[in-house]
Amino acid sequence: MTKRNIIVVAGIAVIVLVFVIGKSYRKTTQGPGADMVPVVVVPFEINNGWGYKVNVDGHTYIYQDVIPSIPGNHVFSSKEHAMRVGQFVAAKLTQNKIPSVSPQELRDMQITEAQ
Amino acid sequence: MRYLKGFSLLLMASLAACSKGSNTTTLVGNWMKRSQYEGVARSSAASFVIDNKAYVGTGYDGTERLQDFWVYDVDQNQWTQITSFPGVARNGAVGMAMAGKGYVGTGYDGLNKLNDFYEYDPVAKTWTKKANFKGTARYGAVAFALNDKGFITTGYDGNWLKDNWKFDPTAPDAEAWTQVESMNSGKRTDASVFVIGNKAYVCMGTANAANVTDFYAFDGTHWATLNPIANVNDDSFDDDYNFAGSSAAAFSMQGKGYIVSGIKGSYSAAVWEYTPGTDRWVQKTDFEGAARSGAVGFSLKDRGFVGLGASSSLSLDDLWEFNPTAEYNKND
Repeated sequence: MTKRNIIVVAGIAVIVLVFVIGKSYRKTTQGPGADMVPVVVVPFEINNGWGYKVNVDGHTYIYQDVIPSIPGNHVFSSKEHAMRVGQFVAAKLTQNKIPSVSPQELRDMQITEAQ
Repeated sequence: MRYLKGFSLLLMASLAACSKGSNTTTLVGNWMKRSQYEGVARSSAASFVIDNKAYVGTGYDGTERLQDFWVYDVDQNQWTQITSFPGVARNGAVGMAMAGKGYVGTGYDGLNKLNDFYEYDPVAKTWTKKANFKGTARYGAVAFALNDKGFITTGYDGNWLKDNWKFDPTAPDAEAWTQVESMNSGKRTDASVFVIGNKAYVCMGTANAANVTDFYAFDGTHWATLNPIANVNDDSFDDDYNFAGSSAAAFSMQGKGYIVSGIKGSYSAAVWEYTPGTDRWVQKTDFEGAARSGAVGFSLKDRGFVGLGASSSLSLDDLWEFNPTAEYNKND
C-alpha cells in the first residue's frame, strides 16, 4: 500500500467515523425531542373581535371563535385577550389537564368582556 | 434493503391470500383515527348531535366530575368549547336533540342522583333550565328523540329501572313530562340505544350484576320485543351472540345500528352490527382503539364515531371513525 493510499483510506475512515458518531449523537439528542408535538396558539380576527386556535402538531384541535364557557356569542375584544386565554388553554393541554376555561378563570385573567 | 422490502411485501401478500382463503369468518370494517381529543379525556359524558355537529360535555375524568361542554365539527376535525353546562358537574347524564335544540339531564354528582334537565340553543349559545325530569332521580339512563319528542328510560335510582318518560319541548313546564309505556321487562342501567327510521332500539345494560339480554324497539308509543342478544333460540342465527354487556357506545348509520366496546365481564373491543329488517346481529372488525367503557358514540353525515371513555382508571381522549364497509387494514 502506498502512502497516498493509506492517506485516502484513513481519510475515508475518518469521514465514516464522524458520520456514524454524528448520527448516533443526533439520535440521542433528538430522541426525547422527537416525541414532543408542538402546541401553538394562533389568534384570528372574527366578528369585529378576536378568537384563537390551538394547533397541536400542525393541526387545529381547538378552534375558539367565541369566548369559551360563558353564555352567548361573545368574541374577545382584543388580540391580547384572545392570546392570554389561548396560552392558558395551551398550558393546560401541555400539562395534560383538560383544556377547558371556566367563567372564574376568565375573571381571574381579567377578560372584562366576559363579565 | 430494497430486496428485503420486496420480499416482505410478497410474504405479506401471500399471507393475506392464505388468510382470505382459509378463514371463512373474515371480519369486515375498518377503524381510522379521526382526531385526538387532546386532553379532553373523560368517561360517561353526555352527547347530542345538531346540524351535523356533535356536542359532548360533562362526564368524569377519573378524579372529578365535569361541567365543560364542547362541540366537534366533522368537516374541520376540530373542537370548540361552548357555554358550560349550568347544572352541577356530573357523569352518567343523558343527552339528546330534537327540533334543533340539545337536551341534557339526570346523572350523578358523586353524592346525589339527579333529575334536573336543561336545553341548549346552538344559535344563541345558551343553556336554559327546563322542567325537572319527572321520573326518579337517576344515572345510567338512555335517552333518544323520536318525531321531536324526547324519551328517557332505564337507569339506576338505587334500583334498576325500566320506566319510560316522554318530554315535549313545546309544552309548558307542568306538562312537559308524561310517563308512557315501560319496557315489558328488562330493568337495567348503562344500556345502549340507537335510532333507525323513527324507532329506538334499546339493548345491553346490567341489572343485579348480570348482563341483560332483553332487546326492544320503541316506536314512540309501544315497545316491541326483539330476539334477545344471547344464544337462546333453537335456530343457529344467535349461536355467536356473546356480546351482552354494559357501558358500550352505540350509533346508527346507513340504516344499521352499531354497538361498540363496553364491559362484558372485562373490557371488550367487539363491534356488532344490527339490521332492523331481519332482526339479526353480525360481528364486525374489533374496535381498533383501546377497549373501553363509557365512550360516546354518535353519527354525523351518516358516518359513525366512537371516542373518549375509560379503560380501567385511565381516561381516554381519542376519537375514531368507523367505516363499516372497508376491508380491515391493520396498517392505517
